[in-house]
Amino acid sequence: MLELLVRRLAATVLVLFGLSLLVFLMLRLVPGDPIQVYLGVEAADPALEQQLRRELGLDRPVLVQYARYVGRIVVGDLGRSILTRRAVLEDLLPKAGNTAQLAAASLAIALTVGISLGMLAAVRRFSFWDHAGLLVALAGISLPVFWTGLLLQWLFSVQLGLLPAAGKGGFERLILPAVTLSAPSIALVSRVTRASLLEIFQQDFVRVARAKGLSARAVLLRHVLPNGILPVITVVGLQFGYMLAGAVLTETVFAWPGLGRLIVDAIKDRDYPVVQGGVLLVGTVFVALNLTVDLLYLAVDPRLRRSPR
Amino acid sequence: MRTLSTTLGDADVVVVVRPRAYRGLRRLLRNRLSILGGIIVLGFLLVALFGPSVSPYSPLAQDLDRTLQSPGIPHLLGTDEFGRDVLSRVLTGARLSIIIGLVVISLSFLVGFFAGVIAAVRAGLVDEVIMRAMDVLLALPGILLAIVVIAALGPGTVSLIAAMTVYNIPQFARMSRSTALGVSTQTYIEAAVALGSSPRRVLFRHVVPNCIGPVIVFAMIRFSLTLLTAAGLSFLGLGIQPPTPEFGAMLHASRKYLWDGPHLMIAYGGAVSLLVLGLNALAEGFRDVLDPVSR
Repeated sequence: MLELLVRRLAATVLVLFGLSLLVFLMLRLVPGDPIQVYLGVEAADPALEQQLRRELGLDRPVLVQYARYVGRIVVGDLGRSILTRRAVLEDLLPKAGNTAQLAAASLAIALTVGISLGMLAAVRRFSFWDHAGLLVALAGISLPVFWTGLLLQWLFSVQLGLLPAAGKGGFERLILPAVTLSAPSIALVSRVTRASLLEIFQQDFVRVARAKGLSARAVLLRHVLPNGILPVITVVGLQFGYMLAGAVLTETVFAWPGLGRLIVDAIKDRDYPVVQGGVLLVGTVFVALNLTVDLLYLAVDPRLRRSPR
Repeated sequence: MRTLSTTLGDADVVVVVRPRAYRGLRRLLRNRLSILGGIIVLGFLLVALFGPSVSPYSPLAQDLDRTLQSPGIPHLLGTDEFGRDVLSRVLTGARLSIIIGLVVISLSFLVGFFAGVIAAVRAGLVDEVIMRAMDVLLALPGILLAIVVIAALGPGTVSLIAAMTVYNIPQFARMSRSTALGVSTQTYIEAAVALGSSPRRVLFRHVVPNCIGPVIVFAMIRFSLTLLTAAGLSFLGLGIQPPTPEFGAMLHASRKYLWDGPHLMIAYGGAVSLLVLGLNALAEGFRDVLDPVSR
């Protein structure tokens, strides 16, 4: 058990190092000199260039530069935005909050609708609901979120005038983006729930529960659901991470001031410190989520504690 | 079709042995959803092949006297903000998406599949190095990995293809590795090794052919995901740039005309959705045929 934990943590640290290296190298791959990238087009003054080169440590060997870079991000210094001149972390955090709010609302929708649909499909297998659930899932993974977003916007704002089309503020502005972002996750959660419950329904202990005369509802709620919900935990944890990244499309459609939007705008403005910081933040959160899901899984399912993979 | 006849007691028994491919096709046809998907995909493939010669207008020809016209005659799907024929743009866009998708999937399949299989077969240090590198790439969820590549290379068609390939490689590697691990514990592999087959022969004659089925199903699903993600990147302005008729880029432009010309948004989004729906439905059917283990 302890060995398993240590190994898992070590792997996580390794991945985080790899991530920082990737983000560090990202700027080096950009065509042209980093100094020119930092200064923009008007880099004419060689003296200024020299001074900046020394200030940014670009006159040192690459390995030293990387070590210093890691040293800074460990203490939370992600550099300064070229555009706003503010500390990158200061720019990132409020946007990250907005994205987290959107993702949390979507996750709540995806869980409620997805688990209900999946349960219905599993309990009434081959019924109308089962087939309808399959179609919903197929649509959920097939329709591009930026199109569902536009459709909802067109239907509810342009045609019916019920909800505001875009922007942030107030509950009514959260509804459309949250529904949009939840569609692919509804598909996934409902399919995983269905498959998992169907498997549990075939277990002997379910047959025993039925044989001793428990009602269908009691069998479902007391025996099938608690055992069948495990795989859903994994999916949900990962989905939250995918939502943080996938939110960028929804954020663009609904002009939601989130982290994804910030990263994309920064790419267009060539504001590389913001791009690096944003990518690092989302990546780190995603890695942490993965770790949490794994640990939760260990906590919930004692069988996994014995065999190290 | 082959027949085997034998004599069992007094009665002549004729056993009809149908080739494997035939049985697979029958099972595929039994699934109505995958037939529908197959028809849709076939239609789009025909469009990709013959699109330019059947499209009624040039996808780039502007007609500023006839902007934002609703669907009708002579423009079956209407015209856009520059008076360009929407149907022609849909046909050309479908061709472009499919070509990009095929290039990306072929590249990432090749690299990812062999990285994964080699990691599984060689094990040890090779496995560790390959898979930890993939873990780092997988630390960036979904579209973010592609965005990072584009941030480094700058927006454009070539960077889009590079970004989508990098985005797919770790997925293929991981999937192929676990499939290959499953295969390599089978007794027929042990038998092949015991018979003295060289590692190379075991790899190419036994491991690869037995992994390829599930990986092909996976490739179909990744293909549809690649179409969606590539369109998403272009929607963000990071992929293919206007005026090239690409679904994501066209959808982005159509946002401004939700009031005056919603047919643009409906036509472009509907087309790309139909294509992806068809692919996913078909993949569902293929899963039953090529990957009998998973349900």
